[in-house]
Amino acid sequence: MDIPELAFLTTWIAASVRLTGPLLLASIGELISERAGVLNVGIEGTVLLGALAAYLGAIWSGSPWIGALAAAGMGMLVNVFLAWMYVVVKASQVVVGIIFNVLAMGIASYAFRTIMGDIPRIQTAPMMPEISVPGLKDLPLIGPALFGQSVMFYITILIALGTGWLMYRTRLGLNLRAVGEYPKAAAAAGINVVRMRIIAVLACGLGGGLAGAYFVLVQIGLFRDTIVQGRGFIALGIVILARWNPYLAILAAFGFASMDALALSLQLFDLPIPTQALVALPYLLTVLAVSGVFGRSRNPAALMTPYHADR
Amino acid sequence: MSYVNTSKIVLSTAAVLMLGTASLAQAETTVALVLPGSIADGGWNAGAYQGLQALKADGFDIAFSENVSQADIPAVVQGYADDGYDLVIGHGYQFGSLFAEISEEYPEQAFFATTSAPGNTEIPSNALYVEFRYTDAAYGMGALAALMSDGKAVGVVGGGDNPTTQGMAKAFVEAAEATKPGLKGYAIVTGDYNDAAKGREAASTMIGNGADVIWHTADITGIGAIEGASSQGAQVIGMFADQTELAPSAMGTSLSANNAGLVQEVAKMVADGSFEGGGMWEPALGFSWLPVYGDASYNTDLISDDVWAQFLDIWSKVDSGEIEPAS
Repeated sequence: MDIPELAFLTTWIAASVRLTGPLLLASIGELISERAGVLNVGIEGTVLLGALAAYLGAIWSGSPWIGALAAAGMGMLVNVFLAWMYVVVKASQVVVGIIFNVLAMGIASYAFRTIMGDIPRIQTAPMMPEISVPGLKDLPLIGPALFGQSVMFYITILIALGTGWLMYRTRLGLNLRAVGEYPKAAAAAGINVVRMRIIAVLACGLGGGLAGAYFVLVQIGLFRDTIVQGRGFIALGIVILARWNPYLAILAAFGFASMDALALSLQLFDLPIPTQALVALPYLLTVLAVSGVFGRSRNPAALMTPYHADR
Repeated sequence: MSYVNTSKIVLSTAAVLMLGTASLAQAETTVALVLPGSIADGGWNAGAYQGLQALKADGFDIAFSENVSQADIPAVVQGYADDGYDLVIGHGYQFGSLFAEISEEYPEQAFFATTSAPGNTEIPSNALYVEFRYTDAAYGMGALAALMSDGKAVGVVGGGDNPTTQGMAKAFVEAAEATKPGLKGYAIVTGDYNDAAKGREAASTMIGNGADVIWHTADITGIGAIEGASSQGAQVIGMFADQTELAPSAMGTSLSANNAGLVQEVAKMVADGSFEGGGMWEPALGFSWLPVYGDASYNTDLISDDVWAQFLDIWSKVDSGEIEPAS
């Protein structure tokens, strides 16, 4: 094969890093929520509505930063509803999440059509600037991957690291984990379980909304109601693979993204593997992740269990 | 006063008579168009709708339904047929087998689906399908990409993993490598028509490995491919509609599907009695597919007149069958 191996590897790593961003943001959001005991299957819908808000905010204001802000706001706003259903109404978390995704799809399609109906179809939103470190960016293998990314990527990594610090080094983090492990004991220790869980679901909305913004403001500059394509669900798998640990989530998200990118890269070689098998790679990893092949992991003990103060 | 009125009447009568002769053939022809998507999608559906509007201007009696879901299609189509429309057009693959089934019940009316005829089915003589010649079109784009390239490779991003996509990918690679010996043709099939992020990375992957011209055969995945390729300084070729707006300075041209022309042409066949169903209509490649760049055919900043002439030469050879893609 006449493709230089170095160029192949460099491109593969760079593509993996680019695909990591939105997966990581969604996973961090989901992880915070699950750590507090709330499984938010509705994250797919939150990401989609965040993407819509990012697009509209960015084209109306002309600034990608306003777009990202709008996405963060939208993510938290819709998660107010989810938090109410999960924590206050105490409805089944899985059912609410699935129904919410269907609802979000309908809302996004309808709103996009209604708002954009009269405007030409192809209107690109202003995108986040890329940071390019001169010299370092041209390094082989990791140069483009680490020193030539969108500014949003570096912010994403900071968010993941910051979440790890919050979760393991602050009282807030300790309280959050306590609520997800044994809410009764947490309540006895004076922690407001309901409030803590609501905060966690809102933080999940923040992560999901920003993940949506990532698609629009970093990757494609456009909104379509299909752009999320199940990546919210992949975030659920990443959280399990990362064992509910924000630092490991960085690696897990990168692992998933690199499988996605590998499925594309490998097609450049004339391998005797059908394309279908390559395209299925990331999903194979998802199945392996949730099946416990990578070691058994223990989820937060009170995950999916609504908290009743009087029982 | 009365003089003015009389002259007005004479003038308007003359105008009516002139109009009458101009559209005599079309006067009674009624055309109904059923669209699976929105007339404002700026692509597949919008094109057909433009054709319908042109027919209206020519004196045809028209009707249409947009955003008709798969489940509602049979009812909507039969509604138009029962209302006696001379021609019912179904715009997309969704109408393939349906038209073969129901057209027999309405032998006096014509049915046209803008997709290929369903296999293993006898096509009634009043149902017509169209052959878009996707592989031939892909061969043309592979040749154009090769002619535009100054680098080592060119690439195509494919959508859903199906025989059409695979065939187009192979034809593109074949044409690129045949047009410029030594050039490498890449193809990445993403397996998805709607994943823009993946389309972007597919384009980036090929560019990272030396490609400098990217084409696509995927709807929204393709939009991502254009975005990724143009942001990395590669040239791009659009597909299905005029995609100039996505990347004006990086876009060489877009291969736009001439749905407006197809709709008009078939309606005229029905109007003048030359309509003949029972199979597939195979229009010339240059009729089904139009290279467009805004108001022009191509971007003169990226493609010289000489290169365009070379492309047109290959394009016409593919059209005539002189060049036939192996795939």
